[in-house]
Amino acid sequence: MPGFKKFLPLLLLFALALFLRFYRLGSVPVQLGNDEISIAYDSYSVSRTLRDERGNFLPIAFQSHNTYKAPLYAYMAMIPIRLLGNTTASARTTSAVFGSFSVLLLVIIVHHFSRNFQLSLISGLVLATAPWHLLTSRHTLETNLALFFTLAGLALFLRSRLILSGLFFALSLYAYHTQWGYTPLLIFILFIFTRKRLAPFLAVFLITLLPLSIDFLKNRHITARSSTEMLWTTGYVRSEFQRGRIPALHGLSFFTSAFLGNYSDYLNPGWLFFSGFQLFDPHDAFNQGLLLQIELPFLVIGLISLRRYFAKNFKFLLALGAISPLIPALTQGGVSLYRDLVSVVPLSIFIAAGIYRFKRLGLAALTLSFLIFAALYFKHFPLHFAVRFQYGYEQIAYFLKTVYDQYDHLRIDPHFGPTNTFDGVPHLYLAYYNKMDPLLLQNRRESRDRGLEFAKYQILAVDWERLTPDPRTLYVVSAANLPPPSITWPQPLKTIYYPDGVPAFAIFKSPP
Amino acid sequence: MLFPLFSLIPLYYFAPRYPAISFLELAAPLGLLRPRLFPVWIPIIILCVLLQGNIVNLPRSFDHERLIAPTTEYKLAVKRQIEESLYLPYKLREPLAISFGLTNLYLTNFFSFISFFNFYQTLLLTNTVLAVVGLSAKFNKLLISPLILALLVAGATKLPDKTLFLFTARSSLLLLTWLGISKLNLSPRRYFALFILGLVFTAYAWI
Repeated sequence: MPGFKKFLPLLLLFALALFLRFYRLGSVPVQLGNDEISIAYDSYSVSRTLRDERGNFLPIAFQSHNTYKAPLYAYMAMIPIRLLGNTTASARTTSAVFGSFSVLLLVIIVHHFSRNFQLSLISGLVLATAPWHLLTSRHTLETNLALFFTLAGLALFLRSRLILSGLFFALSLYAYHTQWGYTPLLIFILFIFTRKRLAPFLAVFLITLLPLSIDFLKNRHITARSSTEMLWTTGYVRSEFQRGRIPALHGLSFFTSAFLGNYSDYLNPGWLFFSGFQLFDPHDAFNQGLLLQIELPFLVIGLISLRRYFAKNFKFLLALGAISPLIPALTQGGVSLYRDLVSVVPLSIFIAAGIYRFKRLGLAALTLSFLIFAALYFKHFPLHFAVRFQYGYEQIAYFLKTVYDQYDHLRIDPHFGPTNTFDGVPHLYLAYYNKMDPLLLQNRRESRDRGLEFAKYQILAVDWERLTPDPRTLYVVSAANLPPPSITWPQPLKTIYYPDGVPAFAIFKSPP
Repeated sequence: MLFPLFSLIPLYYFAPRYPAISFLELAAPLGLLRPRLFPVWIPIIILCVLLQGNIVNLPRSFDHERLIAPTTEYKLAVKRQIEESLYLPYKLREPLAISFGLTNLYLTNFFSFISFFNFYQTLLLTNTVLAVVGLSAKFNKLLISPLILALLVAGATKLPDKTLFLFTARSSLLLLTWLGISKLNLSPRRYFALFILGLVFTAYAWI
C-alpha cells in the first residue's frame, strides 16, 4: 500500500493526461484535416490490402498528397481503426494514447535528472496541459508519435537499457522527418555528456534503420523530404548564391542569416506563449500560445534556477533546449509547431523548475491559465476553425451512402471554402468514412478532363454555366459555388452547415 | 578605438525621421545623471518613440490606426467572444472579453517584437550577445529606461518596425554593449574579431 500511495499522484497525472486527450476526441478539432484523412485512409487501406491509397505495397514512405509521409503512424493506427471502426476518434486514438504515455516518460526522465519526485510530477503536469502537446496529441499526425519514441529512447538510454534505447531511437526516425536530424543530434549530446559505451546501442540503431536508409537511397529524388523542405532548396536562397560581388560568400551569409532568423523565430516568446496556436484567424485577439501564457515568467525563473534543481545535468538540459529548434530552423515555410514539437520537452522542464520554486502559487496560476485555454479550445475553437478541417466532407460521405443506389453518377466539386478556392480531398473522406473497398481507389482513373473517377464517383470541378444535366446524377458543390439564377434545372437536395451555422456545401440532383 | 566599428551597425547609421530626435534622445540619458530631471525626461523619450514610430506626426496629428486596438478586427473578436461565452454570467462577459483580449493582443505584440532576430538585425550578432551579457552587469537600471519605453510603445503598435522603434534606445543599447565588453573583459582585438565574425550573418547586404 505505501507504494500505491506514493504512485497515486502519478496515476492521477496519467488519468488527467488521458482525459484531456480523449475528451471529445472525435469532435475537437471538428473533423479530420487534410493530412489526417490521408494517414487515416492509408492506414485503413493497408490494413485491408497491404497497399496504400496509390497501390504501393507496404510502403516505407506513404506517397499521400505527394508529401511522402513517415510510415509509422499509418501502421500503428491500423489497430484502433480495425477495432473501433472508421471514425474520426479511432484515427486519432494512436496519437492520444502515445501522447498520454509521453507525459509518463517525461516524469521518468526528469526524475532521473533531478531525483525529485515532485519536480518530475510538475514537469509531467506542464506537458499534460501544454496546448502544444495537447493539440498534437489530438491530431492524426506523425510528430506526436515521434516524440513518444524519442522520449522512450532517452528514458531507456538513461536507465542503461541501450539495446532497447537504440531500437526506440531508430523507430523515431520512422515516425517523423524532424527526427532524421534531431535524433542523431540527441544521441551525439548524450554521448558527450554520459560517455557510455555505445557499440551495442549503435549496432541496433543502425540495423533498425537499414530499411529506411535503403528506401531513402533508392528513392531519394522522389520521396525525400530533404529535397523539398530544406532551407537551401528554396528558390530565394538558391538565387542568393548567384548574386553579389562574391556570390559564394553572399549566398552563405544570406543562408546563415535566414537560418538564424528561423532559429530566432522558434525561440520567440510571442510565438511560444501568445500566438503560436491559432484557434481563430491570424492576428485575432484571442489566439493562444503553444504554452500557457502564465508559464512565461516561470520559464525565466526556471532557467535561472535550473542549476539548483539539476546540479549535475543542467548543462545537458540547456544543450537539449538549444538543439531542439535546430532542425526545424533549417526548413522552409515559416515556423511550424509540428516540426518543432521536440522543443516542448526542454521547455516543459524549464517551466516546471520555475513552478516548483513557488509551488502553490505556480500551480494555481497554471490551473487558472489552463482553464481559460480549455474554454477557448473546447468551446470556441470548434465553431470557427471548421473550414480549415474541410468540414462537411464527413457529413457528405454519410449522406451519399444513404442515396448511393438512387443515382448512376455522383459528382463532387473538390473546391470548398468561403470563396471556393481551397482544394479538398473528398475522395479520401468518402472512402474512409464509408469503408469502401480500398481496391476502388487503388484502381481509380485520373485525367485532366474527367478528374478522378472511382465507382460511381467523379471528383471534378463543377462549372454550372458549362454543365448539361445528366440523368440520375447528383452534384456536390461548396456553398460559394451555387448555380447562378439563370440556371434552374439543378434541384436542391440538402445543405451542409458549418458548426457556426454558415452553409458549407450544397447537394443538388439532376431533373428526373 | 572601437567606436569607428559602430558605424557598421545598422542602428547607428540610420537617419532619424526628424533630426531633432537624435539630440533629444542623446540628451535624455544625460538627464539621468540628475535624477530630479527624470519626470521631464520620460515624456521626451516617449515623444521621441511616438514620432519615430510614425504614431505622432508633427505638428499635431495622432495616428490611432497605427495602434493595435481598437481596430474593427479587435471589436469583432470581442463581440464574438461575448456572444459565445454562454458559460459565463452575462454581466461578466464583456469586461472579461475586453480585458483578456486587449491584454493578450498587447502581450502577443510586445513579446513578438522582443525577438533575437530584431535585435541582431539592428545591432549585429556580437553586440546583441554583449548587450544581453551587459544586462547582468551592475549599473543604474534607470539608464535602460529608453529601451524599456521603446519596447512598451512598440508593443502597442501594429507591425512595429525594429529600426524605427529601437532607434530611440540607441544610447541604452550602446551602454549595454559597453557593459558587456567590460564584463567579459574583451580586449579591443578580440572584440574586433568577434565583430567581424558576427558580420557573416548580415554581410550579404554589402557583398
